[in-house]
Amino acid sequence: MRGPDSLGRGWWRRNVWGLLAVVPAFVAMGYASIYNDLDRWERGEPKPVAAAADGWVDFGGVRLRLVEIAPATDLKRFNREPFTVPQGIVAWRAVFEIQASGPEVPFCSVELEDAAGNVYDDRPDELSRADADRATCAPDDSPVPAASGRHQAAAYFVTAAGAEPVAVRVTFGSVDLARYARLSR
Amino acid sequence: MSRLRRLGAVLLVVAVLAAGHAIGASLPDRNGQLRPFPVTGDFGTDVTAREFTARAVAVRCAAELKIGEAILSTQGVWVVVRLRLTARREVTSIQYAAIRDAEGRVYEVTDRFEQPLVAGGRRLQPGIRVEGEIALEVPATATGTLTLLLAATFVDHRMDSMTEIPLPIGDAGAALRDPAATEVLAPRLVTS
Repeated sequence: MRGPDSLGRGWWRRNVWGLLAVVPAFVAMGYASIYNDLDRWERGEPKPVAAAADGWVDFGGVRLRLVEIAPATDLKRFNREPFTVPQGIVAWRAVFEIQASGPEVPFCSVELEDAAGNVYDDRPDELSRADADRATCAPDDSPVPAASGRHQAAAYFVTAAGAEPVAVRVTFGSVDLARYARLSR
Repeated sequence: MSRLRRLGAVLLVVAVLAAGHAIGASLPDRNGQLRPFPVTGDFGTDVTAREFTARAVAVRCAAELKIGEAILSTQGVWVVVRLRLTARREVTSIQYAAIRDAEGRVYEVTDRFEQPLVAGGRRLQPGIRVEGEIALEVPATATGTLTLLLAATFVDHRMDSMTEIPLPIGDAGAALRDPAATEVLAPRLVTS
């Protein structure tokens, strides 16, 4: 360390700005090192789009509204014989209405959310022997005939007995992977 | 004095560089730093990883497996583990299963027949328990504690959890003295 300069300033005073710059430099270095992981983590957590007061959700160029989430007690096998799930497990059917602004509706994937925050897949392996197709949101797959530009989609789930479904999540992967429509009961 | 100060500065820089190199060389490599988080639990108990809970219910060794009509022999010994698996909050699947021996050698689950329970094929729904058996081949000379490894990741296990369950196998090679082929239980729901 040299002594005072011509202005009489010691080492600390001569280097005060450099020392202060070290702090934000370290912060920037730390942020840069975790940015990729942070960004990936944030993108991995899609955000919900909630319904308006009338119960409809505007999302992905279509409008969606929950019709029901109810136990699916009338499931059939592909040979039309009754299909029952094992004791301790409940099968659920979620039906929602779709109003498209154009002729095409993006392919959707649907999940079920329970009161504890657990999330279940549409058409699980437990229903592989049941005649319960995966929801696509396409008008051709509507369980009821389309009318007035509206059609429906039905999705099937299983939960452990005691689970309380509270909402379905509809994602249009080709439109928006960062958000989903949350259709709550 | 000025020359001494300059020499001192050079030596200081060299010392800092040498210290930095020594620290860098002594640290684990990138994959080592990001290695999976081990979650260790006892055989027969629930072991909870980030996405799933696993319990090794039973284990046995065999010289041959009976898969349908086919008999699968091995140059080593088959280790058949009965597992009970449950997803925690979201749907997941077990995509990696292996046995690690006392020497640190890792033997992955066999792909000689379909094993959907641990090959990603079986989607586990939260709270719904699925039980089934898996089979792995280890050398008959494998010694020491064999540890079952399970993960929800397929290839890249970094920065995720991996269960480690020691298997109570005394002598894996003893199974070779019993020629009876054993069947592997397919996945089924457990409701009790």
